[in-house]
Order: sequence, then structure tokens, then C-alpha cells
Amino acid sequence: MRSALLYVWLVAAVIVVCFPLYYILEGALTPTAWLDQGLEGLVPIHLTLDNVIRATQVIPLGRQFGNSLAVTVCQTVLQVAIGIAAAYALVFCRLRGTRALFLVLLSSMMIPAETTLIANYLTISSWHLIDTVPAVFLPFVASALSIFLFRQAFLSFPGELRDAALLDGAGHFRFIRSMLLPVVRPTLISVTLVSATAAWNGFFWPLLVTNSPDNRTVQVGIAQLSNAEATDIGVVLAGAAMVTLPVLIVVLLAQRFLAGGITAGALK
Amino acid sequence: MSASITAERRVAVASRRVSSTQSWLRSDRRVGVALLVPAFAVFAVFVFYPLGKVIWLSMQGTDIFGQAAGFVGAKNFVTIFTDPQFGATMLRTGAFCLAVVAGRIVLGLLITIPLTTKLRGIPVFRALLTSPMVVSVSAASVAFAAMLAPGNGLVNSVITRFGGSDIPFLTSTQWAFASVIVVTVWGSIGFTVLLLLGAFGAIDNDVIEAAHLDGAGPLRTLWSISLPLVTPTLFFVVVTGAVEALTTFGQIQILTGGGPANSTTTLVYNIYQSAFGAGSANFGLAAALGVVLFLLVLALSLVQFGVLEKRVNY
Repeated sequence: MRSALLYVWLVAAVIVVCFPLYYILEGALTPTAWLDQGLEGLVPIHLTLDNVIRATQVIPLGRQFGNSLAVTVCQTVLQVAIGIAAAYALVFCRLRGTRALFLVLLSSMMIPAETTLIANYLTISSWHLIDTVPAVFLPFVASALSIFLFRQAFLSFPGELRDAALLDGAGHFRFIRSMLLPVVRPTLISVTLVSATAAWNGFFWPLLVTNSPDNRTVQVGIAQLSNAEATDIGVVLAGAAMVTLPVLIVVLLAQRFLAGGITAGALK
Repeated sequence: MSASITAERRVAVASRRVSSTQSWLRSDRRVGVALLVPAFAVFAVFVFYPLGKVIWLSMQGTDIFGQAAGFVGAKNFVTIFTDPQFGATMLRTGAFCLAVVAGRIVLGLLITIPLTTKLRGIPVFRALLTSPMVVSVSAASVAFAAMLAPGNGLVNSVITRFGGSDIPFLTSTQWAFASVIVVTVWGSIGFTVLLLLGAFGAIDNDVIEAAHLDGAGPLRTLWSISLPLVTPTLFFVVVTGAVEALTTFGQIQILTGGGPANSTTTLVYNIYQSAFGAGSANFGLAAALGVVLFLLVLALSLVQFGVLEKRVNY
């Protein structure tokens, strides 16, 4: 009896929580005329790719997809590489003043991006980078959170083992690549996924530093698609589905890593 | 004779080893410093310098092109704090944060607690109920804009079919604010559930069983054992959720553009409007608003580090 009630409650929760995601995916493949029927429109019986095709005719979605992909790859690769380098130095290199450096890192996390973006906008514009792909990812190629997570993982690696490897003639890079990273693989994967998702989903900053449709990221693109074609619901939802699908697939493939990484960040 | 040679050799070898260890340490430090340079250079250029620049800009006047035009002291702050609009914006921002955080905590617990029972099929429910996490702010906002649209929008077409009248969810001062709150809570519920699942999962099963043996029912166990044990995570959700709500932008930009009649303009949206809004490039004023935002986030972060560090470390 009690478990029946719990099931009813959970099913109700799933319907409410998952409905918008269902609506995005179903609506993307359903003609607007059928969606406009209201409740009947929720039944997926008129599936077509027409919305997706028309969406790419309104805005340069392919081009914007490419921009978002470039931003995501550059931002993630740099954030991970710079994060590994900094965490390695902080944990292993016996530097003086690591506590002070650590406080600087902590304090950088207390400065909201929404405060600094006015000045960052001026910096990027003085470098003549407005409306380019590098403008979108440059300010975020280092992340204090990534450094923290790598540091946390590196701390569990025995320092004597590292000294032995280096005294035996392994270089720093060789040690990191063939001994350290294999041991901290779960952290490596989760940091990569978390920073890639954040890069892909960015909205405020990309909106500010790009202005021609060809240089927009796809997140900004679908917002403008929704603005331009507000009454053509199928096209709007096709845009939403196209930005959501890549993340959905990656998360489904790597769910256990993602969960571990995010909670590690929260409970640091 | 031979003994003294051995001793001398030993000293020589030992001193060579010490000096090579020292030089090795020195080169290790040099490498370490070099590896820190990229990260700290990025933070210097894109976090700390901009903070200083924004504080400096907040004390500058602005010419018609939005460029800094001379020191004006606290004038921008006086303008902000004497503007009745600003008071209204801050109250709205506070109400928004409270509503979003309360929504996240209440819904998060109502969804997570049944997920911690040992029913069949729980992993499927967990995956489904954390799935909103994959939807970006932009995608969620355009989907909700479509659902909440007047006339043919899904929600209104259902309301009118059952005899109700069209509700202007996004275009009336009465509804727009609540609509933005609902969309924001929905967007953060997946992550909240994930965090709470982690916290409930970390509770020692022996403690729960001991409570059962002592005759505590499930509700009593939940109230007196489980909830107190997850308070550090609840606190984390409250503080980081407040910072997240405070810096909300995409939902407001896409759903309402701050309107109607400023009814969804929060502090961050006000920064955007002052600096980049049509025809009103005022970087000095925007920077002053940015400083206010920084102080609020700083206060919340200090509370978090102060309280959370103590709790987590016992």
C-alpha cells in the first residue's frame, strides 16, 4: 500500500519534471499545425524532420553549431590542461607560499562573472576580438573549480612514488601522462564533462561578444530563432532539441562519472 | 688508512648527493612556477584586473559613447541608492532568490526522499528525475516561451478548452515574475536532486537501522535522523542556489526581456540594461551595480566558507 502511494507520487513527479524535455523532443519532430491542436499535439503520430530543415533556413544553425563546437573544444581542452598543470605544481613541486596561492584561487571563486563582464567586454573589444570565436572562450580557459578538483585527486597520489619516477629520469610531462592521469581518470573524465557542458550551454557572455548571425553560438542562435519565429512552435522546439541532444547523449553515456564529479565539487 | 679513504669517499658521495638533491629541488620549483603561470595569468587578466577596473569604472562618469569620462566619486552610487526604481529592483531580486531557493529545497526534498527508498525501478526514476540537468537555460527558456504563449500556446490552449480564459503568462505584470521563477526552479531541479541523492546516500545505514530497532517509524527517522544529517548539503544548496538565482540572466532575457514594466528586472538584468541596453550605454552606472552584486556574492560566499567548513570538518 505504502509503496503503491510512493509509485504514484514518483510517476507524478516524472510527468511534471520530464514534461518540458518530452515537449522539446516531440515538438521538434511534429508539424506546428498538429502542435497547435493543444493536447492532441502531444501525441507523436505525425513525425517529420521538416521543422529541423526549416530551422536551418531561418538561421545559419550549421555554422552556429560549428562555432559552439569550436568554443566547447578549445575551452575544455585549455581548462583541463591549465588545470592539470596548476594542480600538479600546487601539490607536487614543493613551492613556497602554496597557501597564499590557494587563497587567491578561493577568492577568485567569490567574484561573479556578471560583475567582471563589463570590464572583460572592454578588454576583448580593445583586442579587436568582438564577434569572433576566441572572444567567447578566452576568459574561461582557466577555472578555479577545475584546479580544485584536480588538486583533490592528486593529493591521494603518493609523493615518494613521484620523486622516485623523476629521479629515475622520467620527465614531468611523462610522469603526468603515464602515471598520474591514469590513476585520477574518474576526475579527469568528470572535470572534462562538467567544463564541456558549461562551455556548450553558455549564454550571457556569447550574447555580448558576438553580433553577426554567422558568429553566434547555437545557444544564442536558438533564442533568436524563438524570437523571429515565435508562432512557429515546431521550428522553435527543433532549435531547442538540436542544442539539447548532444548533451543528453554525452550524459547518458557517462552518467556515473558526471554524478561523481559534480558531487565532488559540491562537497569539496 | 683504507678506513679513512672509505670515510672520505663516503663524505664526498654524501655531499654530492645533497647538492644534486638540492639542484633537483630547485629545478622542480622552477617547473612548478612555470606550470602555475598560465592559470594565474588568466585569473589576473580576466578575474582580478576586471574587478579592479569595474571598481574604478564605478567611480567614473560616462560620456555619450559609454566611455569613462572623469572621476565622479560616489556619484553613481548616490544615483543608484536614491533611485526608487533601484529599491524596487533589489526587493524583486531578493524575492526572486527566496522563491527560487525555497522552490528548489522543497521540491528537491519531495522528489529525493521517495528516491532513497528500496523500491524496484528506482534507478530509472533517478535517471528521469535528474534529466532536466541536460537542458540549457536557452533551450529551456524557448521551450517554456512556446508552452506559455498566448492563444495557441500549449498551456493556454488547455485552459481555454476547459472553459478558462487566456492567461498572459509572460506579458502581464501579474504573471511574468512567477513564470520566470517557475522556469528557473525547473531548470535547477535536476542538479538539486543529484546533490541531495548524494547526501542521503552518504548516511550510514547502521544509524537508520538503529533508529528502526528503537521503534522509530519511517517519518520519525526521516525527521530526526536523515534530515539533520543532510543539513550541510541543504545549506550548500541554499547558498549556492542563492548566488545562482542572484546571477540569473538567460531566462529573463529570453522570456520577458525584463518587462513588462520592469516587473522581471533583477539586479543582473539591470547591469545588462545599463551597459548594453538599447540607447543607454552607461558603463559607470553598470559598474556601480556590478560592485553591489559583487558585495552580495562575496557576503554569501563568506557565509558558505565560514559555516560549511566548520560543519563538514566536524
